[in-house]
Amino acid sequence: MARIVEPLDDSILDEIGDAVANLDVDKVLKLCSEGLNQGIPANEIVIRGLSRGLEIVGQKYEKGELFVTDLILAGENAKEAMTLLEPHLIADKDKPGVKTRTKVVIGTVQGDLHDLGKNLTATLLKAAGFEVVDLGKDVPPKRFREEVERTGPKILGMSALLTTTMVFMEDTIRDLEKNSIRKSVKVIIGGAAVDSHFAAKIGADAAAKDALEGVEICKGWSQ
Amino acid sequence: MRIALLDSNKLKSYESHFPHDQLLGVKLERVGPYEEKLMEKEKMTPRERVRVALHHKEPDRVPIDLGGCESSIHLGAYEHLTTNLGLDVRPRLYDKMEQIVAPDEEVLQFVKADFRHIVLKKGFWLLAEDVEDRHDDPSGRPYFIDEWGIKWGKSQYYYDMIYHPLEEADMEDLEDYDWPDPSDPERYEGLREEAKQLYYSTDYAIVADEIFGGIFECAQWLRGFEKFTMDMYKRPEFATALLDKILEIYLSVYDRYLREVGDYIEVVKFADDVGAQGGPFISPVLLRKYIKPRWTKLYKFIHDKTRARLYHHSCGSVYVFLEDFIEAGVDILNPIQPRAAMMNIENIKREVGNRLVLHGGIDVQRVLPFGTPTDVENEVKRVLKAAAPGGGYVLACSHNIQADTPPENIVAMFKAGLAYGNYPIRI
Repeated sequence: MARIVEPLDDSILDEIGDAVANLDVDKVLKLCSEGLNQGIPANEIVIRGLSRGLEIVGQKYEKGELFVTDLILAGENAKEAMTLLEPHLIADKDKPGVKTRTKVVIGTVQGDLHDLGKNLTATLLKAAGFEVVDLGKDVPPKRFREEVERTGPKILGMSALLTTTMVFMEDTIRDLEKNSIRKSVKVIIGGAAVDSHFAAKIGADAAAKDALEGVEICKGWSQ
Repeated sequence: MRIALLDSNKLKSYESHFPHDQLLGVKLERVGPYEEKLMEKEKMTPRERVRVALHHKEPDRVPIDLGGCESSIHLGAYEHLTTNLGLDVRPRLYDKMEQIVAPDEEVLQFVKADFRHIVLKKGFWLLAEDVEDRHDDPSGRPYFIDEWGIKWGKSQYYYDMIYHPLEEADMEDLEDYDWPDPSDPERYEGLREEAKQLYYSTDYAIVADEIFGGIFECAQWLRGFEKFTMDMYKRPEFATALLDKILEIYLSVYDRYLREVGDYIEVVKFADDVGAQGGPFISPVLLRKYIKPRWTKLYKFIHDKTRARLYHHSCGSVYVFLEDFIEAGVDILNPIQPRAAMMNIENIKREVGNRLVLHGGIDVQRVLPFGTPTDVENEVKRVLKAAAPGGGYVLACSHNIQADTPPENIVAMFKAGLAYGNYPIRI
């Protein structure tokens, strides 16, 4: 006779999502701890709690109800929650049934020190369950390529604010092609001046108009 | 080629001919060889044209601005432009951080710019000659440190912040910090003479450029953007103390600045960015709590000191703040960045065009750097058609012309401004 397992009450995940969406960090942290104590796996808390909450934040931002400063607050809150959850994610990594996190290498391109959008994207990606390798800012094409070779991510994200530094995105893609690793990775670009036409022109797979759209595109690729 | 001087007898009575208050009643047909020459093709002098436009009336043509901190040209594009125009000029850096030039008189006359810009003699970062690059940063990146202690590292085209001096500061550190001295006489030396000379010996509209970044910007730069955002949410006392300190310095600088030049200028500038490409980057709640009250105080102070119009620069998407700008005392809004969200100039003109003069609007993110001269001409026509009717519009690019902008596009922009900018607008 099969043993009947009482399904875990995971309604707390919805509450975590709502607390994230309401930018209430104290409540987020309290609920995350409670969730862990109840035996809910950390990756469930990240994906069905934090990430869902950030999706709501994103929808509110899209509708013009929230602003960049709110996103920073949401991101900082998520970062605090991730500090709490990260050790559990690492501990759970090899457990059966736990999905491997999709790896993303991300950075602001050579000549560009404007990393606000990139930082936010990195934070939101982490909170959406991705493993993020952040190369920082002013990253030359060679460095991107070497990191792709070294760590084999599924996704490479490049950010540039300036029309004058956007060209380094193309240089990076050419460098990946030259070293025959372009096909191993999906390339997404972001930043004020880039759009899908530019992405198509330089051979990137997608352009994101902001951090939130970038995360959504990456989620689509990781499934 | 230098600016022609007016007949000295006329200079004495010049000022009384053009009081701001009687602006629209002013007689335009003045006599004298210089004026006659100027009026051969154009009915108004630049200063008259600007005054009329800033009063939301139609002058003879749309005024044109080139210069200052956010309507100028990057050094790279400028060198390219002047070489192509066959001008033998030695570019002078105006703002080291942005790597923009003070356009030479030859160029200003070529594009028929109606404004001439003046600025503090010793700025907080301006006048690049004052500040030498240092080379001892571990990253190997050349850098300079401004008067606030902010470290600016050289990138390919600009200098970007690489160190925020108050990032780890607490309340006590604010007390002890080595703040810039607003009373430093070097800042104001010769300013009055320069403004007076420009006022009496030329017909241009004089602009007093901004002194540094805005109140919000300065706080972010000293602290770091993310850190200051979190200050506003989590450490309101610290955020308030920092903003008040900056405001105190700015009030003191504008006090001295306007005492020197306030009588001679048409426009006084201030810049405080609150918009990003996709929307405002500060929430309206935070803006109204922390920033707008301080703008209001500063702008009231400035309005009390000069009859000049208050110009506020904020690039990016600032549509949701239009009424806040007006309530704070802004008269002129720059740069109406067309590719930013909700910044459709036609809508903005319709909604606030009778209360805000619109300055800028020509796309520097796509059309100027990457379009053809015909694209540029169409862009100018689009903006003129939307913003120029009824006056209250100044033609300028929607930020500094970037390094990668071809000279033929720059020329096309100003040529189109002159070709299609005559009133009444027929596009």
